[in-house]
Amino acid sequence: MPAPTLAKTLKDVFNTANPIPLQSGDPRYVDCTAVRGNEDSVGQMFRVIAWSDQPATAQLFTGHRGCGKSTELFRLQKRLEDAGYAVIYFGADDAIDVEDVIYTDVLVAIAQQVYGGLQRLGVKLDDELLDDIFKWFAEIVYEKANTKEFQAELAAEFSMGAPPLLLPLAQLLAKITGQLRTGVESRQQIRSRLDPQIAHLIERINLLIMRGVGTLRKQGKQGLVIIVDNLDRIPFRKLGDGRSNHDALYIEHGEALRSLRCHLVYTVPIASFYSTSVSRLTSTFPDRRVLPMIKTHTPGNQPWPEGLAILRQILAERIDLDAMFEEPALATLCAESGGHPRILMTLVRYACEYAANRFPRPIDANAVERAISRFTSEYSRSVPEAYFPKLAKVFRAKQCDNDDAYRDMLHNLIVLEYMNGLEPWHNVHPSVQRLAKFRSALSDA
Amino acid sequence: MPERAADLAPENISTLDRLVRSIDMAEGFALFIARCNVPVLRNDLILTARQQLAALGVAVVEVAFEDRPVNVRERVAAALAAADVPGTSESAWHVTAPKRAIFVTGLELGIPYDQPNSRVLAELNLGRDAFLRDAPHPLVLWLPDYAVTAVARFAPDFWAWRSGVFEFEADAVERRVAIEHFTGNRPWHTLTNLSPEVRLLRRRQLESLLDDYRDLPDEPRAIGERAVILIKLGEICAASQDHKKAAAYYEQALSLVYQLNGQRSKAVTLTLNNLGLVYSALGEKHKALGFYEQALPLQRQVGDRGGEAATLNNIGMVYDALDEQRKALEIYEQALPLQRQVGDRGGEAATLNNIGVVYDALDEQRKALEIYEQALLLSRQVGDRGGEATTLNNIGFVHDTLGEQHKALDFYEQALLLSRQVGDRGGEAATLNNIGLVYHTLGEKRKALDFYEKALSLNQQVGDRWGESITRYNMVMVYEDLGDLAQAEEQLVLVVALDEAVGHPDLANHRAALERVQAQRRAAPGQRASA
Repeated sequence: MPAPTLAKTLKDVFNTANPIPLQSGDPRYVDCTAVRGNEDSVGQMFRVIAWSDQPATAQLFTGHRGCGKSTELFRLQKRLEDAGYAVIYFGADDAIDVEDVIYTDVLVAIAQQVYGGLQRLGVKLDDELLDDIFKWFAEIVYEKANTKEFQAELAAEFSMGAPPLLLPLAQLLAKITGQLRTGVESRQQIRSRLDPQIAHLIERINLLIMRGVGTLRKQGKQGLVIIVDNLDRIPFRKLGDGRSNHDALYIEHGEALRSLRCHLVYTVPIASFYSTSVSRLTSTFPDRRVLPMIKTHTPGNQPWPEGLAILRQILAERIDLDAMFEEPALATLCAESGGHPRILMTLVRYACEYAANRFPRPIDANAVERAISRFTSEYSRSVPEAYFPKLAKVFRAKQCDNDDAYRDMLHNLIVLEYMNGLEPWHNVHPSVQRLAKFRSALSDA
Repeated sequence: MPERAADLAPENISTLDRLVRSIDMAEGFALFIARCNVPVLRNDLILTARQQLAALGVAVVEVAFEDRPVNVRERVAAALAAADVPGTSESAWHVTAPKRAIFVTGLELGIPYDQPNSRVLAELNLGRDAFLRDAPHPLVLWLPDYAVTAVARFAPDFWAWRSGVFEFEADAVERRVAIEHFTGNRPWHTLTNLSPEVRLLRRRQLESLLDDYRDLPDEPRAIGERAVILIKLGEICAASQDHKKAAAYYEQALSLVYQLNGQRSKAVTLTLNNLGLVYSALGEKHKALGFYEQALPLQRQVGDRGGEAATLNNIGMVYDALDEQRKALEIYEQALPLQRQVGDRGGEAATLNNIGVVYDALDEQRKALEIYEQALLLSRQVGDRGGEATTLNNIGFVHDTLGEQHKALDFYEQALLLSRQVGDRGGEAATLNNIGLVYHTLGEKRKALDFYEKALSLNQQVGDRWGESITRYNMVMVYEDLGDLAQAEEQLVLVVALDEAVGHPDLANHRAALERVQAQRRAAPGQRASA
């Protein structure tokens, strides 16, 4: 990837300050490991896979929204591929209805992605195996015993005038995931049919995986890794009796999720590590990584120069800072991000709108101040009234409790998680700290 | 197009300038949110923005949702494709295509005011990345305030990608224009006749408008306008059979109109009557009576005899529903002379019609027919075809009861014709349902089902779940006669669901019927549910 030229106009600054995750190998990537306050997450996840003497491992990966998870997972994928692994990466949001998802949906999506991924990797699976798997899904999900007839039906359904492009099993899996994603009634029916058959479902997926891995090894590959990104976007929901949909997926059905015979990396919502049942989660998935915020300050509210320098460097990879920013204003902007790279980008965008009509250094103290005040007022929409006393508590203790309100605060970036070594601590986002309601809650207590 | 751009307030002009400037700067996908509670202002802003962007070489593609939005991204992609100039080749397109911006309006239709965590927000949140691919242009979502907050709370990933929220405030004139849009005297069925989508749109617009009054000082004009909005909200909710919500809005309105005009104003007694109607619909007949009985002395004090008669008429209907037919007759008899004194022949016709209903219920069918004839005459004199249709329908019902099915069909045909002429789909559905009953009696079961289906489709068009429940239950009767228990069960499941949704008083009976049919089906082997 060629080095991008640095932004020297407001328009270029506006466009380079884009919150979309970087692709692997983008020269604008800045290694934030040290200032995030933990060890290198990608390196750790890589080692769990590469150093294992088993063909299968399972890990969880989490972090705040927009803190760079996808960027890090792209790096992991690249590193694994460089080391000779076949990697199937997919975003759960593309394959599943994340709004209403249970573990069978995830497994079926994995089956579809594995089959599609193996085809893309040029792995030819023998017809007998594919027929067997087709037959199983056809019988269990659709109660179709006549394979030939059903294949013809599917072909007709998928061709829509054009000749079918997919093989029968791909069509069948696409039909099932399609119905799971969009058909509210058929979804329930498919789930109720798969649920009692779960051991068999896993067995079929493992057949696919093991045959695939066998061929991959002959091609000189080290093994197969599946990375499921964006599962952390599952909105938290109570199911009654104190359970949450997160608990149901990762804890109650964690064993099913980890029983596939290849290396697995699942993303999870950061809030699930603050569940009351977290100990059960850690016993199912001992390998978990959190990608924390970049530290901009210490738990004692003192500025943390190393972190601020990295944030500045993230901007310096994209923008000609000397030409575009006035000095103390730039430092203010970095601190205001709370160490969250995407928020930093948003603030830069806002500041462009208020920039002065002169060069050099059009983004001055006034522009930054107005950008911050607008961002703060927008933030107030994310914070329900009832949270403010709790937020005052977090600000003082620098810790979160295990309750739903705090989970929501982590989920919505109202409270951020930082690391000192392996010790997580929390703080209220700087923009929330500016809200009048927060300040009065702080002085009330 | 009116030249209203010059009328925009200076703050709105400068906010719009910033929005236009940001759109001009943005390359590829960028998300902007424009917050505006008042549709008239929003339309002016969009018009002005279009003109300013056009001058900068940016073409606006507008996607306006008029129903609960689904597949937002696909709709946007389709609008983009449609905007491409036909006939230009792919390569030429890239050279000559103007820069585009996408304006989306109407998303709030999928974001309930009181329960904003909705499907459309989940869709935006999860489909975020796909916008980059399918709609790589600046995107502006025009939303009322509550919907902006809903996006922040319930579509946080989507929200996090925003490049700015632009807040526009309506001034007093713009708010008033918006309110006038909803007022004016129209017959009730023009509201119940609207499709559920249009009613939903109105409801969201009114709710958003109400938000604009939250922070205004309590001066009489603002209070009055707030009351009007609340009353209109109550009416639209009642017409949508959301009677609970309607009651809540009317109650808020009531305290405002008291505050504003004192007890004896017409606005107060009208609101009390509206409250009576919604509580009556909720089955809380005694609560309804309470409201009517508050209204009566107020109307008597100011000598509002027309209003008094209307209230008496409503009271009569409650007693009728409570199976106190004698009491109902007594009340209606009090309404009649008042209506005659003020020369309200339309009202008199309505009361006579209601008296006919009572006699029918008392099994005095001949007497009922006599009264209906009088009602019919008056309706025709004043040219009230809607009222005429209702009475004709009721006459048909009497003949059906008397075993004169063919005569009944004659009257139903006449009623149908008039309902269609005035466009009263609710009335039409009721008559179609009754025709179904006649054919069932005549043993023509398939024909009965045909008419029920026609009634259902009208019920569904206007979102009348109450009527839908009744007609479906009638279908159950036919299916049971046909021995088709599977169909009977299927319909009963729907009936029970509808009853639950509207709080139907027959819910318990219908549940029992469902259990009975299910038990029968279990006892009859060989019949399996079709999946």
